[in-house]
Amino acid sequence: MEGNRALSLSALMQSVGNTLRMNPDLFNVWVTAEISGLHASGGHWYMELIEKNDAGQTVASCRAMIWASNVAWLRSKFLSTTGREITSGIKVMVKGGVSHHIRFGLSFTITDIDPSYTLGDMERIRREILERLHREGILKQNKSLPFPALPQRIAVISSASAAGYGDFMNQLIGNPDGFKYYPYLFAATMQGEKTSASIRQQLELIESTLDLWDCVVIIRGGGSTTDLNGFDEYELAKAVALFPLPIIVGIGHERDRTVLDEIARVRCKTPTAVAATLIDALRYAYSNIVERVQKIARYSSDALVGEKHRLSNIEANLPARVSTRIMRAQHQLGVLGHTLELSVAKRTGRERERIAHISHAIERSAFRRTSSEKENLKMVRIRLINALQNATRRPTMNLQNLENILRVLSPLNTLKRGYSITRINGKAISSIAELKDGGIIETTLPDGTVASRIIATKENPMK
Amino acid sequence: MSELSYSVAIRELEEIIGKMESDNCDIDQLSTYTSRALELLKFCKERLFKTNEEVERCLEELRNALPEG
Repeated sequence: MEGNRALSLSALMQSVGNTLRMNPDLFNVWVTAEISGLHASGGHWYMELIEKNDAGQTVASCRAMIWASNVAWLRSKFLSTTGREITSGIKVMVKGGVSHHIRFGLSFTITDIDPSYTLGDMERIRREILERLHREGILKQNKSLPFPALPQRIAVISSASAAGYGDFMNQLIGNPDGFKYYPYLFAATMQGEKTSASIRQQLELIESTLDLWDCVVIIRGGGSTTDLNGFDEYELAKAVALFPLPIIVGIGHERDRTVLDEIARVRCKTPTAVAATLIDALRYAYSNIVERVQKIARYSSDALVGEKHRLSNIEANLPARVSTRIMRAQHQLGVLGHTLELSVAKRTGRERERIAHISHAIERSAFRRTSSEKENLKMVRIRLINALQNATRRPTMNLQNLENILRVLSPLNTLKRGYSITRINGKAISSIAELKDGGIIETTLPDGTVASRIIATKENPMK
Repeated sequence: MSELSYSVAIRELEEIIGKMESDNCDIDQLSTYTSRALELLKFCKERLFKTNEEVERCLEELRNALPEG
């Protein structure tokens, strides 16, 4: 009997399906989940929607699908906002309904998608990676490296077959300025889960030949269909941040950025833009050199012109300067002459004064002298006149007197009075001491002379 | 290596400019400065435009040493 009450499996599944269909909450409902095991089949997309807890364990799962009729527009809607494909591993907010198939069971049919949710989630992931790098103090490490003055030796991480790599190489090698570059490809997987490990492996290889490179370029291999999921990964971000050479990335998207865009030394939107950056760097270096050399040439010619100007200035001003100089010298001479004249005049004036003084004195004294002489002469004259007068008056009296005196004094008169003169050998004697016995004496009397011989002498006792 | 001498060249150019800018620039030195500057320019231009065989050789070695990806 129990068998009679039992339902066939299909009846049960049918019943489940009917129950589901009666619940309006299961239709046109928005659900957030992570996509897993996405694959296409017959134009339809099949996948697993899963939910993980904080520990990363799956706590819920459900089969899901996008019918072929919806695939194209949902994909383009998602891509245009997020810059990414709908792929496994991303979190999505999808609208749809729960359906039940009696053979395949429960599934969720996706009819719409809200890309902004995924965008927000990707942003959260990136932010978490960046915050972690920041905490570790390496976030700005690559960004702070000096950009090489001549980025010519370039280690390129890309995919050889990719269009982006081809674009990059064409642009770089065929640069219109003819700059020389030495790019070398380190081929890596540029999409999917292997992206991070593959790129990191090539970075290690480059680091082992570090001296050969000026910089590293990471460019996305493919065109617009590639997804960027592989780039928002902590280990890769860390490897780029710590890399000792500046890294230039060209993996971004017009509207989207990856973590690497925030970490690398230079971020470009496309591989072509990376090539342009490298060409610009050499162009800048070249213009710098040219500018410096031009500057030197200009300074050189400026200095020459300046010097020429100086010389011609000197030349032009020379006559004026010379004449000024001469005038000044003349003036100086004039001043000097005047001074000399003054001092000479002063001196001669003094001399003249002195001479005048002296001559005046002479004159005065001469005058005094001559006048006294004159006076003298006058006196002499007067005396002379007096003397002459006296002389003419006196002789008569004088002659009388003289006659009288002569008369008195005449020996003849004395002789007449009895006196005589005794001489010996013609000489009158006045003492007996002059007489010798036997000597002859001559005695003069007024009327003649007597010669006598001395017999004796006798001294006068009265005497 | 090439990088280093390039920066040395640039630095020397800067020095020359500095000397020429200063007021006590010796006129006698002008032609020396200018010809040295042109020499440095030639060197820098060669770095930019001419094939550096040394680098090419390194890349060739690398090509042989590393597996092509």
